[in-house]
Amino acid sequence: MAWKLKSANWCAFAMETDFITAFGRLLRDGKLRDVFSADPRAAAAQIQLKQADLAAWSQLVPADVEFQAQVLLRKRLDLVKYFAPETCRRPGDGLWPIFLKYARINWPPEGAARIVDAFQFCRFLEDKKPGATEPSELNRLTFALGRSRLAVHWVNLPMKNGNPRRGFQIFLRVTGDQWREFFLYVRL
Amino acid sequence: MKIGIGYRRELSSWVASKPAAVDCLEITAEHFFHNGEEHLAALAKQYPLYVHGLGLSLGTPGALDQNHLDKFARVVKTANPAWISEHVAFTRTGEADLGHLNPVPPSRQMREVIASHAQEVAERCGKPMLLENITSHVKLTGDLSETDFFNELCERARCGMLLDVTNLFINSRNHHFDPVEWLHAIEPKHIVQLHIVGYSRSGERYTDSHGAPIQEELIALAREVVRYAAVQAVILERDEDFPGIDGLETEISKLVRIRDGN
Repeated sequence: MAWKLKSANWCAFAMETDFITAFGRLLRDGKLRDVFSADPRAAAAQIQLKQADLAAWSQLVPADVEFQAQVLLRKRLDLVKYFAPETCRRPGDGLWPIFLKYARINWPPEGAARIVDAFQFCRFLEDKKPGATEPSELNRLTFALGRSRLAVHWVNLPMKNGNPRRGFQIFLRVTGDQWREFFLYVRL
Repeated sequence: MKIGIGYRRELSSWVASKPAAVDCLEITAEHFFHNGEEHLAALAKQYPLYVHGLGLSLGTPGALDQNHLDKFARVVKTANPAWISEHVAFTRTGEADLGHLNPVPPSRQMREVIASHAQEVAERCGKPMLLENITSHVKLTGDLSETDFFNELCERARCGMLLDVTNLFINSRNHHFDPVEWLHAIEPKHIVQLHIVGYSRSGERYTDSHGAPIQEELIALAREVVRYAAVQAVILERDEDFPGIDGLETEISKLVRIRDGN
Protein backbone atom coordinates (compact mmCIF):
# COMPACT_ATOMS: atom_id res chain seq x y z
CA MET A 1 0.00 0.00 0.00
CA ALA A 2 1.40 3.40 -0.91
CA TRP A 3 0.18 6.86 0.02
CA LYS A 4 1.49 10.38 -0.18
CA LEU A 5 1.24 13.34 2.12
CA LYS A 6 -1.15 15.97 0.77
CA SER A 7 0.93 18.72 2.29
CA ALA A 8 3.08 19.45 5.27
CA ASN A 9 0.30 21.52 6.87
CA TRP A 10 -1.77 18.66 8.19
CA CYS A 11 1.03 17.63 10.46
CA ALA A 12 2.46 21.03 11.19
CA PHE A 13 1.84 20.94 14.89
CA ALA A 14 3.17 18.81 17.72
CA MET A 15 4.87 16.02 15.73
CA GLU A 16 6.99 14.53 18.46
CA THR A 17 6.84 10.74 18.54
CA ASP A 18 9.96 9.10 17.12
CA PHE A 19 9.70 6.22 14.66
CA ILE A 20 10.66 3.41 17.06
CA THR A 21 8.13 4.56 19.67
CA ALA A 22 5.47 4.96 16.99
CA PHE A 23 6.21 1.59 15.39
CA GLY A 24 6.15 -0.02 18.83
CA ARG A 25 2.73 1.50 19.48
CA LEU A 26 1.50 0.25 16.15
CA LEU A 27 2.67 -3.28 16.96
CA ARG A 28 0.98 -3.43 20.36
CA ASP A 29 -2.22 -1.53 19.72
CA GLY A 30 -4.73 -3.33 17.51
CA LYS A 31 -7.05 -0.32 17.39
CA LEU A 32 -4.23 1.88 16.11
CA ARG A 33 -3.47 -0.76 13.46
CA ASP A 34 -7.10 -0.61 12.38
CA VAL A 35 -6.78 3.16 11.97
CA PHE A 36 -3.46 2.68 10.15
CA SER A 37 -4.95 0.14 7.73
CA ALA A 38 -7.75 2.52 6.82
CA ASP A 39 -5.67 5.71 6.74
CA PRO A 40 -1.96 5.77 7.63
CA ARG A 41 -1.99 9.58 7.75
CA ALA A 42 -4.69 9.57 10.37
CA ALA A 43 -2.70 7.07 12.44
CA ALA A 44 0.42 9.23 12.12
CA ALA A 45 -1.53 12.29 13.21
CA GLN A 46 -3.11 10.42 16.11
CA ILE A 47 0.26 9.54 17.59
CA GLN A 48 1.95 12.79 16.60
CA LEU A 49 4.71 11.16 14.61
CA LYS A 50 7.84 13.23 13.94
CA GLN A 51 7.75 14.68 10.45
CA ALA A 52 11.24 13.31 9.70
CA ASP A 53 9.91 9.80 10.23
CA LEU A 54 6.88 10.10 7.97
CA ALA A 55 8.72 8.68 4.95
CA ALA A 56 9.59 5.43 6.76
CA TRP A 57 6.07 5.28 8.22
CA SER A 58 4.58 5.66 4.75
CA GLN A 59 6.44 2.57 3.55
CA LEU A 60 4.87 0.25 6.14
CA VAL A 61 2.51 -2.30 4.64
CA PRO A 62 -0.55 -2.88 6.88
CA ALA A 63 -0.71 -6.64 6.23
CA ASP A 64 2.97 -7.01 7.15
CA VAL A 65 2.53 -4.90 10.28
CA GLU A 66 -0.41 -7.07 11.32
CA PHE A 67 1.62 -10.24 10.77
CA GLN A 68 4.55 -8.86 12.78
CA ALA A 69 2.11 -7.85 15.54
CA GLN A 70 0.73 -11.37 15.61
CA VAL A 71 4.26 -12.75 16.01
CA LEU A 72 4.48 -10.68 19.20
CA LEU A 73 1.06 -11.88 20.31
CA ARG A 74 2.07 -15.51 19.77
CA LYS A 75 5.10 -14.92 22.02
CA ARG A 76 2.81 -13.40 24.64
CA LEU A 77 0.45 -16.35 24.43
CA ASP A 78 3.38 -18.75 24.92
CA LEU A 79 4.15 -16.98 28.19
CA VAL A 80 0.52 -16.96 29.29
CA LYS A 81 0.45 -20.71 28.60
CA TYR A 82 3.51 -21.12 30.81
CA PHE A 83 1.74 -19.47 33.74
CA ALA A 84 -1.75 -20.86 33.12
CA PRO A 85 -1.33 -24.13 31.19
CA GLU A 86 -4.62 -25.80 32.13
CA THR A 87 -6.64 -22.64 31.53
CA CYS A 88 -5.06 -22.37 28.09
CA ARG A 89 -5.59 -26.05 27.29
CA ARG A 90 -9.35 -26.02 27.91
CA PRO A 91 -10.47 -23.78 25.00
CA GLY A 92 -8.61 -26.04 22.52
CA ASP A 93 -8.57 -24.46 19.04
CA GLY A 94 -10.62 -21.59 20.41
CA LEU A 95 -7.72 -20.31 22.50
CA TRP A 96 -6.05 -18.20 19.81
CA PRO A 97 -9.20 -16.29 18.73
CA ILE A 98 -10.08 -15.58 22.38
CA PHE A 99 -6.53 -14.49 23.14
CA LEU A 100 -6.49 -12.24 20.07
CA LYS A 101 -9.68 -10.55 21.25
CA TYR A 102 -8.06 -9.90 24.61
CA ALA A 103 -4.53 -9.08 23.54
CA ARG A 104 -5.09 -6.86 20.49
CA ILE A 105 -6.22 -4.04 22.73
CA ASN A 106 -4.50 -4.87 26.03
CA TRP A 107 -0.78 -4.66 26.57
CA PRO A 108 0.59 -5.48 30.02
CA PRO A 109 2.54 -2.80 31.87
CA GLU A 110 6.28 -3.20 32.46
CA GLY A 111 7.48 -4.84 35.63
CA ALA A 112 5.74 -8.14 36.29
CA ALA A 113 4.33 -7.93 32.75
CA ARG A 114 4.18 -11.65 32.06
CA ILE A 115 2.30 -12.54 35.21
CA VAL A 116 0.01 -9.53 34.84
CA ASP A 117 -0.72 -10.61 31.28
CA ALA A 118 -1.58 -14.17 32.34
CA PHE A 119 -3.74 -12.85 35.19
CA GLN A 120 -5.58 -10.36 33.00
CA PHE A 121 -6.19 -12.97 30.32
CA CYS A 122 -7.61 -15.40 32.90
CA ARG A 123 -9.95 -12.66 34.15
CA PHE A 124 -10.94 -11.81 30.58
CA LEU A 125 -11.63 -15.46 29.84
CA GLU A 126 -13.59 -15.92 33.06
CA ASP A 127 -15.65 -12.87 32.18
CA LYS A 128 -16.48 -14.24 28.73
CA LYS A 129 -16.84 -17.87 29.74
CA PRO A 130 -17.49 -18.32 33.44
CA GLY A 131 -15.82 -21.47 34.73
CA ALA A 132 -13.30 -21.58 31.88
CA THR A 133 -10.28 -20.82 34.03
CA GLU A 134 -8.55 -23.29 36.28
CA PRO A 135 -9.09 -21.89 39.82
CA SER A 136 -5.74 -23.12 41.18
CA GLU A 137 -3.93 -21.21 38.41
CA LEU A 138 -5.90 -18.05 39.04
CA ASN A 139 -5.15 -18.40 42.77
CA ARG A 140 -1.44 -18.69 41.98
CA LEU A 141 -1.42 -15.61 39.74
CA THR A 142 -3.46 -13.60 42.24
CA PHE A 143 -1.05 -14.46 45.04
CA ALA A 144 2.02 -13.73 42.88
CA LEU A 145 0.72 -10.25 42.12
CA GLY A 146 -0.47 -9.50 45.65
CA ARG A 147 1.27 -8.80 48.93
CA SER A 148 -0.42 -11.30 51.22
CA ARG A 149 1.91 -13.33 53.41
CA LEU A 150 -0.35 -16.37 53.37
CA ALA A 151 -3.26 -17.69 51.33
CA VAL A 152 -5.15 -20.97 51.59
CA HIS A 153 -7.65 -22.28 49.04
CA TRP A 154 -9.82 -25.40 48.94
CA VAL A 155 -9.52 -26.63 45.35
CA ASN A 156 -9.34 -29.53 42.95
CA LEU A 157 -5.65 -30.30 42.86
CA PRO A 158 -3.56 -31.55 39.97
CA MET A 159 -4.59 -35.04 39.06
CA LYS A 160 -2.54 -37.96 40.25
CA ASN A 161 -2.82 -41.28 38.39
CA GLY A 162 -5.76 -39.81 36.51
CA ASN A 163 -7.88 -39.36 39.64
CA PRO A 164 -9.05 -35.87 40.57
CA ARG A 165 -8.19 -34.97 44.14
CA ARG A 166 -9.40 -32.29 46.51
CA GLY A 167 -7.25 -30.50 48.99
CA PHE A 168 -5.66 -27.28 50.16
CA GLN A 169 -3.52 -25.06 47.96
CA ILE A 170 -1.32 -23.02 50.26
CA PHE A 171 0.85 -20.03 49.40
CA LEU A 172 3.46 -18.59 51.69
CA ARG A 173 5.40 -15.42 50.89
CA VAL A 174 9.07 -15.50 51.89
CA THR A 175 10.05 -12.01 50.76
CA GLY A 176 8.49 -9.42 48.43
CA ASP A 177 8.43 -11.44 45.24
CA GLN A 178 9.60 -14.80 46.57
CA TRP A 179 6.94 -17.26 47.66
CA ARG A 180 6.29 -20.96 47.98
CA GLU A 181 3.32 -23.09 47.05
CA PHE A 182 2.24 -26.27 48.85
CA PHE A 183 -0.47 -28.82 48.24
CA LEU A 184 -2.12 -30.57 51.14
CA TYR A 185 -4.15 -33.49 49.86
CA VAL A 186 -7.14 -34.60 51.86
CA ARG A 187 -8.16 -38.23 51.99
CA LEU A 188 -11.96 -38.37 51.61
CA MET B 1 35.58 -23.38 12.60
CA LYS B 2 33.90 -24.48 15.82
CA ILE B 3 30.57 -26.27 15.83
CA GLY B 4 28.14 -25.74 18.65
CA ILE B 5 24.60 -25.50 19.86
CA GLY B 6 22.50 -22.95 21.67
CA TYR B 7 22.29 -24.28 25.22
CA ARG B 8 18.75 -24.91 26.47
CA ARG B 9 17.61 -26.61 29.67
CA GLU B 10 16.05 -29.42 27.59
CA LEU B 11 19.51 -30.25 26.20
CA SER B 12 21.34 -30.35 29.53
CA SER B 13 21.82 -34.11 29.86
CA TRP B 14 22.87 -34.50 26.22
CA VAL B 15 25.31 -31.58 26.51
CA ALA B 16 26.72 -33.02 29.76
CA SER B 17 27.54 -36.23 27.86
CA LYS B 18 30.02 -34.20 25.76
CA PRO B 19 28.84 -35.17 22.24
CA ALA B 20 31.90 -35.64 20.05
CA ALA B 21 31.03 -33.11 17.34
CA VAL B 22 30.03 -30.29 19.71
CA ASP B 23 33.00 -27.97 20.24
CA CYS B 24 31.28 -25.07 21.97
CA LEU B 25 28.02 -23.73 23.40
CA GLU B 26 26.19 -20.49 23.03
CA ILE B 27 24.24 -19.51 26.12
CA THR B 28 21.40 -17.00 26.24
CA ALA B 29 22.26 -14.37 28.83
CA GLU B 30 18.66 -13.79 29.93
CA HIS B 31 18.27 -17.48 30.86
CA PHE B 32 20.81 -16.92 33.65
CA PHE B 33 19.64 -13.54 34.95
CA HIS B 34 17.83 -14.83 38.01
CA ASN B 35 19.57 -18.09 38.84
CA GLY B 36 21.89 -20.77 37.47
CA GLU B 37 25.21 -19.03 38.04
CA GLU B 38 26.85 -22.18 39.40
CA HIS B 39 25.52 -24.20 36.50
CA LEU B 40 26.86 -21.61 34.09
CA ALA B 41 30.28 -21.72 35.76
CA ALA B 42 30.25 -25.51 35.38
CA LEU B 43 29.38 -25.22 31.68
CA ALA B 44 32.22 -22.76 31.23
CA LYS B 45 34.63 -25.39 32.54
CA GLN B 46 33.31 -27.97 30.07
CA TYR B 47 33.02 -25.91 26.89
CA PRO B 48 34.13 -22.66 25.29
CA LEU B 49 31.05 -20.42 25.62
CA TYR B 50 29.59 -17.51 23.68
CA VAL B 51 27.05 -15.24 25.35
CA HIS B 52 24.04 -14.19 23.29
CA GLY B 53 21.57 -11.51 24.34
CA LEU B 54 17.89 -11.15 23.55
CA GLY B 55 16.77 -8.08 25.39
CA LEU B 56 19.36 -5.30 25.39
CA SER B 57 17.21 -3.58 22.77
CA LEU B 58 20.12 -1.87 21.05
CA GLY B 59 17.77 -0.11 18.61
CA THR B 60 15.81 1.80 21.24
CA PRO B 61 16.88 5.47 21.14
CA GLY B 62 18.10 6.83 24.47
CA ALA B 63 20.01 5.16 27.26
CA LEU B 64 20.34 1.39 27.54
CA ASP B 65 18.45 -0.28 30.36
CA GLN B 66 21.25 -0.28 32.94
CA ASN B 67 19.59 -2.94 35.08
CA HIS B 68 19.49 -5.29 32.10
CA LEU B 69 23.06 -4.41 31.18
CA ASP B 70 24.23 -5.09 34.74
CA LYS B 71 22.70 -8.57 34.66
CA PHE B 72 24.10 -9.20 31.17
CA ALA B 73 27.59 -8.17 32.32
CA ARG B 74 27.37 -10.50 35.34
CA VAL B 75 26.55 -13.44 33.09
CA VAL B 76 29.45 -12.53 30.80
CA LYS B 77 31.83 -12.40 33.74
CA THR B 78 30.83 -15.91 34.81
CA ALA B 79 30.83 -17.40 31.31
CA ASN B 80 34.04 -15.65 30.17
CA PRO B 81 33.16 -16.03 26.46
CA ALA B 82 35.39 -15.31 23.49
CA TRP B 83 32.72 -12.84 22.34
CA ILE B 84 29.21 -11.64 23.07
CA SER B 85 26.35 -10.94 20.69
CA GLU B 86 23.01 -9.18 20.42
CA HIS B 87 20.46 -8.42 17.72
CA VAL B 88 20.11 -5.43 15.47
CA ALA B 89 16.61 -4.81 16.71
CA PHE B 90 14.47 -3.27 19.40
CA THR B 91 12.43 -5.18 21.95
CA ARG B 92 11.05 -2.24 23.89
CA THR B 93 10.28 1.42 23.49
CA GLY B 94 10.18 4.14 26.10
CA GLU B 95 6.57 3.08 26.67
CA ALA B 96 6.44 -0.69 26.71
CA ASP B 97 8.28 -3.98 26.57
CA LEU B 98 7.27 -5.68 23.33
CA GLY B 99 8.72 -9.01 24.42
CA HIS B 100 10.34 -9.89 21.11
CA LEU B 101 12.70 -8.64 18.43
CA ASN B 102 11.46 -6.01 16.02
CA PRO B 103 13.23 -4.48 13.02
CA VAL B 104 14.86 -1.07 12.88
CA PRO B 105 15.06 1.17 9.81
CA PRO B 106 18.42 0.99 7.98
CA SER B 107 19.19 4.66 8.47
CA ARG B 108 22.25 6.67 9.42
CA GLN B 109 20.45 7.84 12.54
CA MET B 110 19.75 4.25 13.64
CA ARG B 111 23.32 3.23 12.77
CA GLU B 112 24.53 5.78 15.31
CA VAL B 113 22.06 4.64 17.98
CA ILE B 114 23.04 0.97 17.67
CA ALA B 115 26.77 1.60 17.25
CA SER B 116 26.82 3.67 20.42
CA HIS B 117 24.87 1.06 22.38
CA ALA B 118 26.97 -1.83 21.06
CA GLN B 119 30.18 -0.04 22.04
CA GLU B 120 28.79 0.59 25.51
CA VAL B 121 27.92 -3.09 25.96
CA ALA B 122 31.31 -4.26 24.64
CA GLU B 123 33.19 -1.86 26.90
CA ARG B 124 31.11 -2.74 29.93
CA CYS B 125 31.64 -6.47 29.39
CA GLY B 126 35.24 -6.21 28.18
CA LYS B 127 34.49 -8.52 25.27
CA PRO B 128 34.24 -8.18 21.49
CA MET B 129 30.67 -7.82 20.29
CA LEU B 130 28.84 -9.34 17.31
CA LEU B 131 25.61 -7.98 15.86
CA GLU B 132 22.98 -10.28 14.43
CA ASN B 133 20.50 -9.83 11.58
CA ILE B 134 16.91 -10.65 12.53
CA THR B 135 13.94 -11.86 10.58
CA SER B 136 11.03 -9.49 10.15
CA HIS B 137 7.73 -9.57 8.35
CA VAL B 138 7.89 -5.80 7.97
CA LYS B 139 10.35 -4.34 5.50
CA LEU B 140 11.58 -1.02 6.82
CA THR B 141 13.29 1.57 4.67
CA GLY B 142 15.88 4.16 5.52
CA ASP B 143 18.57 6.22 3.84
CA LEU B 144 20.89 3.18 3.57
CA SER B 145 20.53 -0.23 1.97
CA GLU B 146 20.33 -3.00 4.55
CA THR B 147 23.78 -4.32 3.61
CA ASP B 148 25.41 -0.87 3.70
CA PHE B 149 23.74 -0.40 7.08
CA PHE B 150 25.36 -3.58 8.44
CA ASN B 151 28.77 -2.80 6.92
CA GLU B 152 28.79 0.73 8.31
CA LEU B 153 27.41 -0.41 11.64
CA CYS B 154 30.18 -2.98 12.08
CA GLU B 155 32.78 -0.35 11.23
CA ARG B 156 31.33 2.32 13.51
CA ALA B 157 30.73 -0.01 16.45
CA ARG B 158 33.97 -1.93 15.89
CA CYS B 159 31.85 -5.08 16.00
CA GLY B 160 31.68 -8.27 14.00
CA MET B 161 28.57 -9.79 12.50
CA LEU B 162 26.67 -12.82 13.67
CA LEU B 163 25.01 -13.86 10.42
CA ASP B 164 21.82 -15.81 11.02
CA VAL B 165 21.63 -17.85 7.84
CA THR B 166 18.03 -18.86 8.51
CA ASN B 167 16.94 -15.27 9.05
CA LEU B 168 18.64 -14.21 5.84
CA PHE B 169 16.94 -17.02 3.94
CA ILE B 170 13.50 -16.27 5.47
CA ASN B 171 13.76 -12.55 4.73
CA SER B 172 14.87 -13.28 1.17
CA ARG B 173 11.77 -15.39 0.60
CA ASN B 174 9.32 -13.03 2.31
CA HIS B 175 10.77 -9.86 0.80
CA HIS B 176 11.80 -11.32 -2.56
CA PHE B 177 15.55 -10.78 -2.89
CA ASP B 178 18.55 -12.97 -3.65
CA PRO B 179 20.23 -14.03 -0.37
CA VAL B 180 23.58 -14.73 -2.07
CA GLU B 181 23.63 -11.28 -3.62
CA TRP B 182 22.82 -9.85 -0.16
CA LEU B 183 25.63 -11.91 1.36
CA HIS B 184 28.17 -10.70 -1.19
CA ALA B 185 27.27 -7.10 -0.39
CA ILE B 186 28.43 -7.67 3.19
CA GLU B 187 32.16 -7.22 3.80
CA PRO B 188 33.44 -10.78 4.46
CA LYS B 189 35.76 -9.53 7.21
CA HIS B 190 32.72 -8.70 9.36
CA ILE B 191 31.20 -12.19 9.45
CA VAL B 192 32.44 -14.08 12.51
CA GLN B 193 29.70 -16.46 13.59
CA LEU B 194 26.64 -18.16 12.09
CA HIS B 195 23.28 -19.20 13.47
CA ILE B 196 21.23 -21.84 11.72
CA VAL B 197 18.03 -23.80 12.34
CA GLY B 198 15.23 -25.02 10.09
CA TYR B 199 12.60 -22.54 8.94
CA SER B 200 8.84 -23.05 9.10
CA ARG B 201 5.94 -21.92 6.91
CA SER B 202 2.71 -20.18 7.85
CA GLY B 203 0.62 -19.95 4.72
CA GLU B 204 2.63 -17.99 2.15
CA ARG B 205 5.07 -16.72 4.74
CA TYR B 206 8.32 -18.21 5.95
CA THR B 207 8.79 -18.01 9.71
CA ASP B 208 11.52 -18.69 12.25
CA SER B 209 9.90 -21.01 14.77
CA HIS B 210 13.31 -22.41 15.76
CA GLY B 211 11.71 -25.83 15.89
CA ALA B 212 12.41 -27.52 12.57
CA PRO B 213 15.27 -29.60 11.13
CA ILE B 214 17.71 -27.69 8.91
CA GLN B 215 16.60 -27.85 5.28
CA GLU B 216 18.97 -28.48 2.36
CA GLU B 217 18.62 -24.96 0.90
CA LEU B 218 19.83 -23.57 4.23
CA ILE B 219 22.83 -25.88 4.18
CA ALA B 220 23.62 -24.67 0.65
CA LEU B 221 23.39 -21.02 1.74
CA ALA B 222 25.50 -21.64 4.85
CA ARG B 223 28.17 -23.33 2.71
CA GLU B 224 28.21 -20.26 0.50
CA VAL B 225 28.79 -18.11 3.59
CA VAL B 226 31.62 -20.38 4.76
CA ARG B 227 33.26 -20.18 1.32
CA TYR B 228 32.89 -16.40 1.36
CA ALA B 229 33.98 -15.49 4.88
CA ALA B 230 36.34 -16.78 7.56
CA VAL B 231 33.57 -17.98 9.88
CA GLN B 232 34.83 -18.96 13.33
CA ALA B 233 31.78 -20.72 14.73
CA VAL B 234 28.43 -22.06 13.61
CA ILE B 235 25.69 -22.59 16.19
CA LEU B 236 22.54 -24.68 15.91
CA GLU B 237 19.81 -22.48 17.36
CA ARG B 238 16.99 -24.86 18.24
CA ASP B 239 14.43 -23.60 20.77
CA GLU B 240 11.39 -25.85 20.32
CA ASP B 241 10.35 -29.38 19.42
CA PHE B 242 13.68 -30.79 20.51
CA PRO B 243 14.44 -34.10 18.82
CA GLY B 244 15.97 -37.06 20.63
CA ILE B 245 19.68 -37.72 20.72
CA ASP B 246 19.70 -39.23 17.23
CA GLY B 247 17.86 -36.21 15.88
CA LEU B 248 20.25 -33.80 17.59
CA GLU B 249 23.25 -35.67 16.23
CA THR B 250 21.73 -35.56 12.76
CA GLU B 251 21.34 -31.79 13.05
CA ILE B 252 24.91 -31.38 14.29
CA SER B 253 26.15 -33.55 11.41
CA LYS B 254 24.61 -30.99 9.03
CA LEU B 255 26.81 -28.34 10.65
CA VAL B 256 29.80 -30.61 10.08
CA ARG B 257 28.78 -30.82 6.40
CA ILE B 258 28.65 -27.02 6.26
CA ARG B 259 32.13 -26.78 7.74
CA ASP B 260 33.66 -29.54 5.64
CA GLY B 261 31.83 -28.65 2.43
CA ASN B 262 30.63 -32.18 1.70
